[in-house]
Amino acid sequence: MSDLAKKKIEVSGLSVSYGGVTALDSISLDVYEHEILSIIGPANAGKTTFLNCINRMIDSIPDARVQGTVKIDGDDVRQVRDVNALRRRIGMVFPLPVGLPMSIYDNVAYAPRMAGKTDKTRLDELVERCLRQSALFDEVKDRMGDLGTKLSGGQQQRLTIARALSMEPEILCLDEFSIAVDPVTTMRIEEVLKELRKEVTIVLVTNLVQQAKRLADRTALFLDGKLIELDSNEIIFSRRTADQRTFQYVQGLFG
Amino acid sequence: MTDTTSGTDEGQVSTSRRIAAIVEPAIEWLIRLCGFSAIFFVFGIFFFVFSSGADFIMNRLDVVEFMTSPEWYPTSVSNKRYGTLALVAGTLSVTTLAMMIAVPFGLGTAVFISEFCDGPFKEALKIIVEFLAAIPSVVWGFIGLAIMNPVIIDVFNAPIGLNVLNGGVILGLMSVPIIVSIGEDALKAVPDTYREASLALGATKWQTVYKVLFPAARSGLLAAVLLGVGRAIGETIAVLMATGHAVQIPNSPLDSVRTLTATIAAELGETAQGGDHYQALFAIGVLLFIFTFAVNLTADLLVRGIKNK
Ligand SMILES: Nc1ncnc2c1ncn2[C@@H]1O[C@H](COP(=O)(O)OP(=O)(O)OP(=O)(O)O)[C@@H](O)[C@H]1O
Ligand SMILES: [Mg+2]
Repeated sequence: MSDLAKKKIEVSGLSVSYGGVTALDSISLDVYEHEILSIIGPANAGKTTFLNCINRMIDSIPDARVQGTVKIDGDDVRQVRDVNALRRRIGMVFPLPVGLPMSIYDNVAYAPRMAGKTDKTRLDELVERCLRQSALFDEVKDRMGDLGTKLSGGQQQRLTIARALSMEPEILCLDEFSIAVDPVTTMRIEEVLKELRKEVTIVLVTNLVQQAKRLADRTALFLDGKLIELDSNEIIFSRRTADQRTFQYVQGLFG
Repeated sequence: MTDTTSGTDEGQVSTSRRIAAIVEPAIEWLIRLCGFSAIFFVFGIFFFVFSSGADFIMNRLDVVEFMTSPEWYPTSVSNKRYGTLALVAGTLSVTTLAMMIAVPFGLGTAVFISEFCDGPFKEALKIIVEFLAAIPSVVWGFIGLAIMNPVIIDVFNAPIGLNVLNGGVILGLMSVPIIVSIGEDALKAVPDTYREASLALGATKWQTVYKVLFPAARSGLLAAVLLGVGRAIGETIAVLMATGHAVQIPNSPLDSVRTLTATIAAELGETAQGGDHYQALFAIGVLLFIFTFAVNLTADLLVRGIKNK
């Protein structure tokens, strides 16, 4: 990414500890508008914690202590008064699919409705568009009234993505979305993400190194709560990494 | 050496397998027996209640009068009447009022404890609720008699404070702890991922409770409410003390009434065993049985209905 690109998310000196145990250790990085930034790293590296700081889900963990700043479009997220409005700007997809206990339609219409958008025709359009974007529409168009929880795991994950898109977010965060999804569906979702980057900024946490290589513009390696290296994919997936550990991790020689 | 070790291992394995082969079916039968005994007891009690009043119910009871007449004069010499309408109205009015208090209050408290508190405060609240559940019903009756009675007389300028309102409030308060503890369990059973997903979509905590947790926990919450209703319908001593003991169809919450259960409790001791009056009280018992059965059946159908939707 060139320096001319707009910074969408600016993280500086971000540290998080859970009851004294450090999960993130002064992370500083920027995410540019319309890029896909992927974050890789082994278990407990702090990847999920990082995402939770962006949309302030970390607030709901009582013993979490956060220091440093996360800015979106220049505004510190921790100064934001209306945290719900903030979260509507950030779509979040969790590792395991979560179909909410309501119909497929209602799942996608949930966030807009909760934000006060109830116009039926607009909702219909929105639901269809989001389901198309997440490559699920054709499979569910005849049974929009069925419970979302009755879909298969892969379908539910695409439903989750449709739901995350329903507020037309500026940022989409995905946390190991392919963990419960078959390879075919994973590839379909990856195609979806490539399309989406025209409209949104994507932060993709993944434990599939190849996925980061396929999708991302830049990749960051987290290790024990520290940012080891962040660079364009050309560098990260080459022999020219600045840190030896990055090369080892990418090559699967780690540990 | 390896041979001997593996030999003993195999020996142990096969012994423990043999024990398991005996113990497991035994445990299975024991569990099955417990299950069957529950059915047996329910039928047994129903049979006992019915048979104690069977002679009267089959031969001399005017079912139409029993169901539709408000006149309950079982001890009158010249004009015996066995109409339960006023008693049913008593039970229904007190129970309805109790539920109007207990359901919102109980579910509200359950939501508050489960979703809006944590740490020592939450534990303290739970202990208080359990303590409430442990108060004997005669103490509740005493509260109705000694505290609620004068308060109602004062506030509403009523001639007497022992009435539907008093009984309803007392019963409501008695049902709250059940609804709270079962309701809280039901909410606790909803996976956190639902909460996270909803909050991450920008929904508020209340919207999450309302739109996600309630539907997800609906059968548990319904069970909580119904057990509360069951407690209210079945409660005897407290309502006996708090409702004023007047056999009449109430026109307002300030009228005194008498419930089905209170009637049985108050009169059974004074009747001649096996007499018509005695048997009529067992007929009331059968009626109560049918009530609770109807409540449970409705609940069951409701839960199924919601599930299939
Ligand atoms: N709610 C929590 N309470 C206490 N400690 C936590 C909590 N969440 C995470 N941690 C700790 O913080 C550290 C980072 O966890 P995090 O979930 O961010 O890692 P991760 O990189 O997402 O791992 P994974 O790849 O396994 O998902 C871990 O040591 C973890 O045990
Ligand atoms: Mg994680």
